[in-house]
Amino acid sequence: MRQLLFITGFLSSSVQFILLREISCISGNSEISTAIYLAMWLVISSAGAIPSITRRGLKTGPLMAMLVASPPLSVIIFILAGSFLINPGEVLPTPGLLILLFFTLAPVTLISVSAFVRLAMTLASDRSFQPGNSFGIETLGSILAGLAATFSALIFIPGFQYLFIITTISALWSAIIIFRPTMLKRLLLFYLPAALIILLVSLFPPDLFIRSIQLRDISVDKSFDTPYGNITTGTYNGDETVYYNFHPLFYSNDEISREEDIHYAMLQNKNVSDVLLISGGLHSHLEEIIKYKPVRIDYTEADPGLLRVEESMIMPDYEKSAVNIIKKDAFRYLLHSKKRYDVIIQLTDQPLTLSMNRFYSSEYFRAVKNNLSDGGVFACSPLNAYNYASENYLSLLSSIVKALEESFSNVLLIRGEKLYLIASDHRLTTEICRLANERGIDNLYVNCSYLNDYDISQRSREMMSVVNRDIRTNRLANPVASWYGNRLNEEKNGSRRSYAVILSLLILLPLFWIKRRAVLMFTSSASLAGLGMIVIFVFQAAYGNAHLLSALVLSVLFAGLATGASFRYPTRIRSSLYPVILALLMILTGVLSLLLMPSSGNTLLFLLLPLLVFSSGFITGSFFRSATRMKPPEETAIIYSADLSGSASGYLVTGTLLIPLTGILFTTLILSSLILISLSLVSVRSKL
Amino acid sequence: MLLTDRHISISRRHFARQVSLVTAGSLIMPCVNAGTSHSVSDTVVPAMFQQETPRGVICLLCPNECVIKEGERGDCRSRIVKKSKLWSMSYGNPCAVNADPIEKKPLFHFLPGSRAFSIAAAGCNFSCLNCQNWTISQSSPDKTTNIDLPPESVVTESIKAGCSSIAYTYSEPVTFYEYVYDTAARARDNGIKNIMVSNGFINPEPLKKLCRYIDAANIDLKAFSDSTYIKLTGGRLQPVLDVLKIYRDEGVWLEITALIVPGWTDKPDELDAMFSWLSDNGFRDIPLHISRFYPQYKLLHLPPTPVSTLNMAAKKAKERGLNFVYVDNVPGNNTTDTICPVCNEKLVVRKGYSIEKNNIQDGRCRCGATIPGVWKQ
Repeated sequence: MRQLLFITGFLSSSVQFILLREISCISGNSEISTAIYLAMWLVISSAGAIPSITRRGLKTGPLMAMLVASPPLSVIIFILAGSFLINPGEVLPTPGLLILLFFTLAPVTLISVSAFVRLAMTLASDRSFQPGNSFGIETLGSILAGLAATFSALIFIPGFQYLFIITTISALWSAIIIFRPTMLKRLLLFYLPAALIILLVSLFPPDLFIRSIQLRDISVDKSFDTPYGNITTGTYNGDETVYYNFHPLFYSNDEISREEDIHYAMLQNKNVSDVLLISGGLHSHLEEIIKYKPVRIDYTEADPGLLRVEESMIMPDYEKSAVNIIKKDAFRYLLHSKKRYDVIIQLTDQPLTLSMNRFYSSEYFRAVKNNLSDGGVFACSPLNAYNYASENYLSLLSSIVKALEESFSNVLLIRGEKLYLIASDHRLTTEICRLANERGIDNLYVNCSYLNDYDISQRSREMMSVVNRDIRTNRLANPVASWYGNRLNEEKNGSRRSYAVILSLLILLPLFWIKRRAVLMFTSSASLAGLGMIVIFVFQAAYGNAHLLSALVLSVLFAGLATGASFRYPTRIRSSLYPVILALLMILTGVLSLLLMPSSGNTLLFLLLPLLVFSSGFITGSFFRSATRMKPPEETAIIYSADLSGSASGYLVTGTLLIPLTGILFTTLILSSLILISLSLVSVRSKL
Repeated sequence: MLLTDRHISISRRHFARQVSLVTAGSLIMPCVNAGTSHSVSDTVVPAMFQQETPRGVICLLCPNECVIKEGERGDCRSRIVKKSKLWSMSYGNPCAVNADPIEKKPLFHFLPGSRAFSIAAAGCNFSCLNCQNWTISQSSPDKTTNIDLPPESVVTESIKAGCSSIAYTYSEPVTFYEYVYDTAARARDNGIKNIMVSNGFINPEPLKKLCRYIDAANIDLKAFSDSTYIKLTGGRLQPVLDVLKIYRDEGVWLEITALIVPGWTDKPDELDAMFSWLSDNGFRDIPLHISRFYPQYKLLHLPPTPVSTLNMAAKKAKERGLNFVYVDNVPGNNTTDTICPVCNEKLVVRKGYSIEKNNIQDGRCRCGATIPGVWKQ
């Protein structure tokens, strides 16, 4: 029974990780969609936890059969509903996202939560086994799922292939536990079919077929997952395109973007000897960079998957020793590097998410400045260029311009196909055509035929004049750019109000089924989830490497929960102490994050924050155990439901509102206040 | 005291209220930071082409023919009903103003090498999934930050900027019809030409009235099947085809743009049908701009149109008898020159938005063939 509980945690969490990555891809990698996903998962689980008490008749065997059938079922629904709801090439709109999430997640979440409650109740009938232990075992499964999913991405195993393999293994393991077959039966009925399925899935990864359905008319050649997302290579009418999380990244005839990316910056510096290119693709941009004959070209890219793709491409003919590939996160590289570059060009994604925000923060720009030679030039393109800039667009831009101005005395805006920000301590000019002519740089697009220096100058002045000085500067601990980025996305989807309504509903909905006695569990779990989000954010800001560190933080958090839920106390501790300790731990996390984050890569930070996460998880787990100890089995479901709903609300509120709006310290203060308020409300009521 | 005690009671309503307050506060805060858009209430003007009915006011400007109730707006978001009358909210309220090369519109046979004073107000009667100007077209005049620019000022500013024409562009000029109409009339009086860059989704009567002042138009022919039109743009094909004929018959210089979107509008059969229709309906001498799609707005998961597809489409168009076919926005593709359909001489050599050579004399090639267009002011 304990092993089945472990399988439940492992399988459901594995599906959760894989589908989260998929949803993230098709909905444009926005934080809000990730938060809605997590919340939807937890809310459905929470809603399913209580009714599952009544399903006493369902036996373990059929329940486990349903559990192992649910991942493929969810995948099929995900693909079919996706084809129905999404137009070719379209980023999934909000109403579609909700429908898709509900139908995709419902089978696997409802079945897994039913399995958990059913197994936990069976185990609880044994007086020596506490409900907290079942929670601990399930959580252990989740931890392993997180680590295994991360490892599979590290070695580029396609996501769906991985999911089908672990589902088969889980089915095999469950069947052997439930049916206890003889050795011969085990071999014939279970091992052989399982081996056959695994062999088939390994030889013919379902990912190619699934990607070709998702990308419609594209003939998919390759698809694999990396710790940062999905890379798919496909051909359309003979043209090969590399898609990164479904966005076309490398394609043919990309003269406009590649010339703009390079020349607006390179032309500004007469003496280009050392160049650093940060992400965006080496092979296409190299062709433009070598027009200036630099002595050294460094290229940083953190995603090993992208480097793998680059390796397979034909590089332009250039002195090989001059080109150096650095397999590191750019921020970390710049913080520790002693090199000086004449030009640094950054082509990372736009700062529309918390994880990308750090590449446009004042702390990052300071690190860039420290790596520039005297007269060095830095360029980045945080936004697309439009004929009209909305309030959110201007606010996002303003927060970044202000961050740049803290490090550089000159900042120039060039409105091309994208909006380019050029910064230097030396004079910058908008006379791009004149410079290209003077230096004999032969371009197809960045030249006097397409561009006009007078227009560039006019538009640059216009844009600079509307920069809003009242907007807060974008900083690591105060990621305002990502907030406006999310709002710009909502504006694009025409769904500002619907997002607000959805968020409010997901936050408030669980309140209708949470029992009064579980309210403190709700707020504690919400705060713990919030704390997890904060630490993930702090780690990403400091180290990058989003998925790996997220999995690490979540694993530590789950480990704390599991230990706390299973821990046997020598003495009876007052339950009201747990929330107080949790609130204090939260404040401590906020203060430490602020103190340590700017000095990115700090070992103390690396050790202390996970310790705080573990401790907070332990306290919440202990509280769960305390809340369910010596209670009838039904109580487990009620508390478990409150725990899940609280986590959902915590992820949503912290990730989408609190961190971007108030910064880290205030977020921890708000969350800890929430725990203390609910504790005082509960205490006051109980005395009345 | 055990916290899980059944006697502990916190009012659910009370708790919900607490959480609601925190959430609502967080949702409202950003609105304060973001600032407010300019008021347009003092610049609304009565809308032309409206009809009062018991169901509401019908806007007769475009084929959507929205029936609008009191206080509501049409599909274009720029026309509102107040006191049982329809009003235009975009009059004198452009949110984007630029001076662009006329080749950028694109117009290749209309005053080549000149500049067009380009204005746009918020709103559109389509909702294209690939709109490159969505920040204007999918907004409304009361949500954008606008410039106070009445018609007479548009004319003055365009003269100051050295422009030969005023282009009503970026969003959909049909939605700011009254503003276009008044500005175009004043521009005509001052010797400035008027250009519509439009989706061509307008009713015949308003269009004929406007054509009195319009000198040139570039109309998007976004697809050649009704189902694609509806899914991709929210509009319909037939009204656009009718509009093309009206522009031509009213003597407005017309050029057509066909954006080739992978998986949407690049089906060979559909392209064939489009080119055949143009050829059979008297548009052989109308320049056709075949344009490359780049991932925009909601269609971010599509690749840019392969250049081979664009060249294939151009070849098909020429085979169907269209005389002036251009492949735009692909630097280095060398498909933007004007070639005499009789003697094949390169008459206008373009590089980007610049004219490197123009051998057209009085609208004719050296071989004597007439090259349709407006070549001089």
